[in-house]
Amino acid sequence: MSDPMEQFRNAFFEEAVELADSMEATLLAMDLQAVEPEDLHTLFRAAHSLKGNAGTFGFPAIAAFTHQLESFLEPVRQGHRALTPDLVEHLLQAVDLIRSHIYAAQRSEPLPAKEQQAQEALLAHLQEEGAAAPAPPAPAPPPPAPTHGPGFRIHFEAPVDAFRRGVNLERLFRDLGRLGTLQAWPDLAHLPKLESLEPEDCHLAWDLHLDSAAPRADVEEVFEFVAEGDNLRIEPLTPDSQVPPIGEILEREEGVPPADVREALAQQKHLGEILIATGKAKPEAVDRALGQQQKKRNQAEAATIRVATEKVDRLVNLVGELVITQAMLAQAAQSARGAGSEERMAVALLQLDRQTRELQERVMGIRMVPVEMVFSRFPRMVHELAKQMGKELDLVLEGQATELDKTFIEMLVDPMTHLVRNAVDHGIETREARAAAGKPSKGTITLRAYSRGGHIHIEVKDDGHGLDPARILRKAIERGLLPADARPADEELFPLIFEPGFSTAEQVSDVSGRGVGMDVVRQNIRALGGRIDIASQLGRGSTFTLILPLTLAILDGLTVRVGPETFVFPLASVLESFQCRRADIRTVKGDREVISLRGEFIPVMRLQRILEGGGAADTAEERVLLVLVEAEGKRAAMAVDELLGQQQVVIKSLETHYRRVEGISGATILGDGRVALILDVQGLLRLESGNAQVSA
Amino acid sequence: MSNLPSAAQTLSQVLCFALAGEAYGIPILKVREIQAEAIITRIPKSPPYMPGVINLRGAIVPILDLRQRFSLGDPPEGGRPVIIIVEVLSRTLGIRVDAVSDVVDLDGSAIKPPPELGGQAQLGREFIAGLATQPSAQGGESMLILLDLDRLLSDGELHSIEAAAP
Repeated sequence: MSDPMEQFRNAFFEEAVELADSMEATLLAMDLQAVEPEDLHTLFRAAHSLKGNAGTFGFPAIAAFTHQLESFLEPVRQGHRALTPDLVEHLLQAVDLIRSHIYAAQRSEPLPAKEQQAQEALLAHLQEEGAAAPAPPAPAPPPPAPTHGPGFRIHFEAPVDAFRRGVNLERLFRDLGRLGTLQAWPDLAHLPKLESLEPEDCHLAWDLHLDSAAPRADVEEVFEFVAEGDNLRIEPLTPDSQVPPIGEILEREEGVPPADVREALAQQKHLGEILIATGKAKPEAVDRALGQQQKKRNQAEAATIRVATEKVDRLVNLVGELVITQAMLAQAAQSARGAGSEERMAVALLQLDRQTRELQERVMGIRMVPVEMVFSRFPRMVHELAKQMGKELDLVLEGQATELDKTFIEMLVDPMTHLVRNAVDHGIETREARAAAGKPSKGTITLRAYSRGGHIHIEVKDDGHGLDPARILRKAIERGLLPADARPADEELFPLIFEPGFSTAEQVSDVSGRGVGMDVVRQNIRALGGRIDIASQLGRGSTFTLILPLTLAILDGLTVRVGPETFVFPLASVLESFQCRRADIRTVKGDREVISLRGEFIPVMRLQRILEGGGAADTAEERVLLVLVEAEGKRAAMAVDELLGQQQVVIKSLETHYRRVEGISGATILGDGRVALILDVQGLLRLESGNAQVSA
Repeated sequence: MSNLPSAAQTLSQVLCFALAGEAYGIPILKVREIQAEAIITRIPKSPPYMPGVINLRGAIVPILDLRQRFSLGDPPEGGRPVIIIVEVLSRTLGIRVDAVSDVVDLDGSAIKPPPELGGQAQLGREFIAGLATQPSAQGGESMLILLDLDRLLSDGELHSIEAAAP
């Protein structure tokens, strides 16, 4: 990744994807009855920037396509052409094509034939529609490029008969000079040897940089009488906001003739080509290596985070403050015997404390990205699904600025996609059913994110017909998940839809209802250390709430003491803690201990025994402290010696230098510098049932 | 990589430490730092010679107790064991020993292969890279047991690390 061009290209791809996303979002958000001119401008600007950037970074296919798109958008922007639902649909397809283009370009491949055809068909469509559209009051201008950028680079070869025709080349430059600041380099590459020079032929060519805000049409006009065939090339210069290619800088700032830059660029060969040409490597070997490089590159891409400059600035400031505090401390320590040094030390320590805490928060903040990154893909998806199923619905997004750990973003996409699909497919009723139920014909799906009590909540809410408890109960009994006479409350019933193979959809549709998925949704969310709450009312709709920890690197824990050691229970798996009398714990089959809690028998486990496998010394205490934990629907009461408190702990891996330990999910460092192990409740329960089988 | 150099002229630096009255040495290049005894957190089901992990500036690092490993019995009362932090096979590990003495330059020719030892002593032989003699302060010669760290750490308990790795 040391190639600077490579970095620019990557920046181009990133920006191109963002532009495509913004086009899509704008298209989906537009109200066709009352189109905001600003939205049209946004669309146009996106297409325009894409075109400009693609041209600059050498992706002619993308530039050509976006150029055509831009010309279709121009009359729309001018108000000469109405934005119809059909046109929106086509523009959405165009956005998809742009993405395919970007994808292909990233892999340095041409656009696949299928997409190529789609593109041609789409352009033909747009052309037709344009022709059929109400005649604009004034003829739409030919594909314009109203660049208000910094200007143009022009390569101009004078026609061979320029002298004979009496073309005044000098005037040409004067006219150009009037448009702005002109830099010119003669290109004498085509000049023949003196003996073969025909004095009346013109062999001159120029490279020009024109710094000007004038539109391209004005520049073209200057060359009106001399432009023929391909002797004139006008390209926009890189706008100030972007990084120009090194060649352009060399030309503008250092006066290197563009012809030389072009020649140098033409000589640049790929390493692979050189190796193949000199017979040092076989073409297959180079291909393999390129494949590997692409793989690595993809991995590297996934591992980078774009961080707002503002966040970085705050960090820099904070580190500056820390340095000052450090100096204060050093001074206070040096003059330790002086008067008031103790006080100074205390002040500095207090400051240090605040700063380290803030530094930690801010550094963690770098990993945080707005939830918008997950939400943004749903408007399009819902739009497509609704169309596919003939349902009318609105998607409402709330709390998009809520931040969550970057790692969550990728891992949230699948479960959320599943929930949203379910909401569209099963949640929202058909138009007829809604009308019959006296609901507005348009359904609403709301995605809402907010943080509460150190957790991020993400809701997927629909105003459809909700979950039917009776049907779930029937199904659960059918599948043997519940005894035939069970009458559970809704809160116990609803989670059953997460059981593998459980689907109450009457009809298996193309979209969902195959019973795979809901269990995967729950697994994914659990893997993130979160859980799902379901609230639903028959006929009114359902709300699925994903409750996630703020970050994967920090865990809410309950610290306990068992013997001489400190352990941490993840708070997410702790239900409650309570004290009981020694006599309340009864033994079954001699050594299995249980306790009756609100009419339910819950196994009592001794941590030492599970972890060490041996029979730990039984405490002779009269009262026993128990922590009730739950994992995978199983509950157990863990006996501990002391509850030390509830605190956030930073998760450290045991595996980096040691190995995985059963029943332990990691380690953390306590305030006094000691290491405490974090318990893996799920693993512990599995260990215990394993032990039980052995002893049985 | 063995600590027994093939070229007799190689000069290597060795960190010497004491263990139950004997002098041992390990190549200094593997040593990252030396720590005073830290609080060790026990890891469940680990063998007696792996008493647990410590916090090394935020990293969780396992400890290998050499006395236990070589069945040399418990350390004497009042001793102040030291932890030598080494890096082997890209893992960091602490080795608990009785005391660290000094760093010596060893001439390759001074290193002899370990003799055949019978019975109980044979147990630890595979971890010994060689024996070296060096002039002692009293004018005589003392013996230094050179350990093969890679062997020592890829054995037994730590071996399961490799097995568990994907």
